[in-house]
Amino acid sequence: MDTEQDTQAIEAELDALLDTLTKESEGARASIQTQLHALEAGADMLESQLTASAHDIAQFMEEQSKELDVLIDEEQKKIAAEEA
Amino acid sequence: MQEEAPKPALEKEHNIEVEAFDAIKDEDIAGWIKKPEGPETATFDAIKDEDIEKWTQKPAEKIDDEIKNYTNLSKQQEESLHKIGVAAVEEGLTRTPDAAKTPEVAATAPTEEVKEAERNERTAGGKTSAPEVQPPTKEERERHFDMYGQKTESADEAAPNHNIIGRFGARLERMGIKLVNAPQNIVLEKIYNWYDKRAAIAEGRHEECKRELAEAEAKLGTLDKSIELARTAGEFDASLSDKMNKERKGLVNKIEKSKTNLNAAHVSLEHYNGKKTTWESRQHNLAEKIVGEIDKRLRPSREVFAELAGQNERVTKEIDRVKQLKESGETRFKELHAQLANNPATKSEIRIKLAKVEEKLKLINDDYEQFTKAQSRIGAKMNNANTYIGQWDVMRNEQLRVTNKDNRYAEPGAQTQAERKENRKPVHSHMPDIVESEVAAAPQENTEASAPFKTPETDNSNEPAESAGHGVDEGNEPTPPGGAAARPLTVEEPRLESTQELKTNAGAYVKIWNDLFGKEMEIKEQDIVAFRPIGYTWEDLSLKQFEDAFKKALEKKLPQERVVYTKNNEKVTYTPAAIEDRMKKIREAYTQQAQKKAA
Repeated sequence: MDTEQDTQAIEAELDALLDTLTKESEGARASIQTQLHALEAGADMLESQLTASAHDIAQFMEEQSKELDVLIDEEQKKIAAEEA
Repeated sequence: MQEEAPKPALEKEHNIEVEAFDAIKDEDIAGWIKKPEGPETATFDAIKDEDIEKWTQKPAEKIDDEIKNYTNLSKQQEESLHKIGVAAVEEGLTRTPDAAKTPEVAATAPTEEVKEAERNERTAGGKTSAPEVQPPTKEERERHFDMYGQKTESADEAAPNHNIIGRFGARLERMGIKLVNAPQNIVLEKIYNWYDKRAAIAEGRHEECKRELAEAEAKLGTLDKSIELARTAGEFDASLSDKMNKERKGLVNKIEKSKTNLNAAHVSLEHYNGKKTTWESRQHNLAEKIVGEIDKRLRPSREVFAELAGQNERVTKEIDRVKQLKESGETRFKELHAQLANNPATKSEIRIKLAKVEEKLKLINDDYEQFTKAQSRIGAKMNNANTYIGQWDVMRNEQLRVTNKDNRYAEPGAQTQAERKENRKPVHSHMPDIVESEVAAAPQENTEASAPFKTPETDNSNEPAESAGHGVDEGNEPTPPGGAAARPLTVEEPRLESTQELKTNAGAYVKIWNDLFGKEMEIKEQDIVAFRPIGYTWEDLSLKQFEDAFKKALEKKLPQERVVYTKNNEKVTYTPAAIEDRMKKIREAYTQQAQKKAA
């Protein structure tokens, strides 16, 4: 009799455990998968964004270099004239 | 008729050219058009670290050596300094275009308006909604590679190298940064140093002229006393008078000559000091512009990074809950399984239920593994982005050092900037301090030296996302709680240990002058404005810079003979020495006043 009762109790516990595992895991799976997809897309987008930023900064510095080259050339001439 | 005369000669020459052309063989042409070796045509794979070092580090070291050689020269060697300096500057200038100039870019570059619009569009797009940021077009990619001397025939070919975080990307970009940036800084620093050295020499000459003048004036004073004594003693006969007058005339001439020399030395000193300031300002301006540009362009990425870091932290917690569910389920399942194993009355229905639970646990375990794998992948991407932002921060901090500004971002690895002179005069930057305010106002922007981006492998704790910042230092330093918001920002306190650190207060300085010497010559603040460097406020200037401007204003107000009369009709001669003396007194009074005020 005890054995039968024990078995029933275990059966009920197994039902409850299965129910808990099913509910909680399915809810978490949907949420996590959505977030991971968003994160991955965000990380990819961040790469693209950094690439674009790098391009812009490099281009900016290139422009600055050109402007500065003109000034440096002028200064070189002045120094040469001063030496002469 | 005269115009037809040269024709036979031209025809002859033309025939020679044609004959010579006919003699050229295909093999010769093939030999001539063989691509030269070098960074322009080498593929990226062929570029070695040694090459990068050669293009970037070596010139800086060489230049440092040259600059060191300028110091500790004897007076005789100073004469040759002009040539050495010019040669050094020229050498620097010839390097710069090699590294940074690309004719292709200039030929194909879009207009300023288009470029700015493109950049702003990207920045605006990235700030609020990161996915709106589009990767550069094929044209942009080609232009990008042209910038570094890398040509791409097609978009497909360009694509692998285009991704800066990819296999080739970081290396290419690092090289790009150095090629564009380092030579300019080096040349600017060299020009500054050249003028600095010239200013030091001019200052020496100025001092020497002052000394000569003082000596001549002292001798004249002694001679005048001797004449006076001789006259008093009645020994001032014709021959002595003639001798002493000759001597006196010689001394007066010497004084005049010394004055002329002193003026020339003064002008020279001012010239070199002015040049020094100008070229230092250029360095600062360039550095500030670069810092501003980096901040502006990276701000959206920093924001996206912080947002992703927070998101990643939240998903980590959820994954942790799945792990807990799995572990507690497995524990309970084992317990129940053990109980049933000892129970002979176990029914087949129960065994089916056991199998179902086991199957469910297996599915949860699979999910968990899948989640952690995905998160690792994302973590790797985030780490790459983190590292890349850190590289920009290294450069940004190098530029901040040029302007003597505090670093706001930690940075990875060793520094690459050239060592700067320690005795350089203090600089008061006029750049708006946007960084500090932005960091303080944006707690989501994580700026501390970070550990790698958290993944379940590296950290499964439930602590807040502190480690997701950029500026990778592989977790060498503990992260302060609360991220960037809790990070103490360095605020410069006013200090008065030395007069060099006094802040300029033009009004107070002018008032002291007028109190002490206003009877002789009144100075107004407006008189000095014309000598203030363009774009600076009084507060931007060091006291020394302000004094230079003040002195120039004073010189301008002086009459040509440098003599002024007080209201009591007293004659005052403003010799350079007299000006120096007055300036010294003003500085002392000003320092005392400022220190009293600070106390």
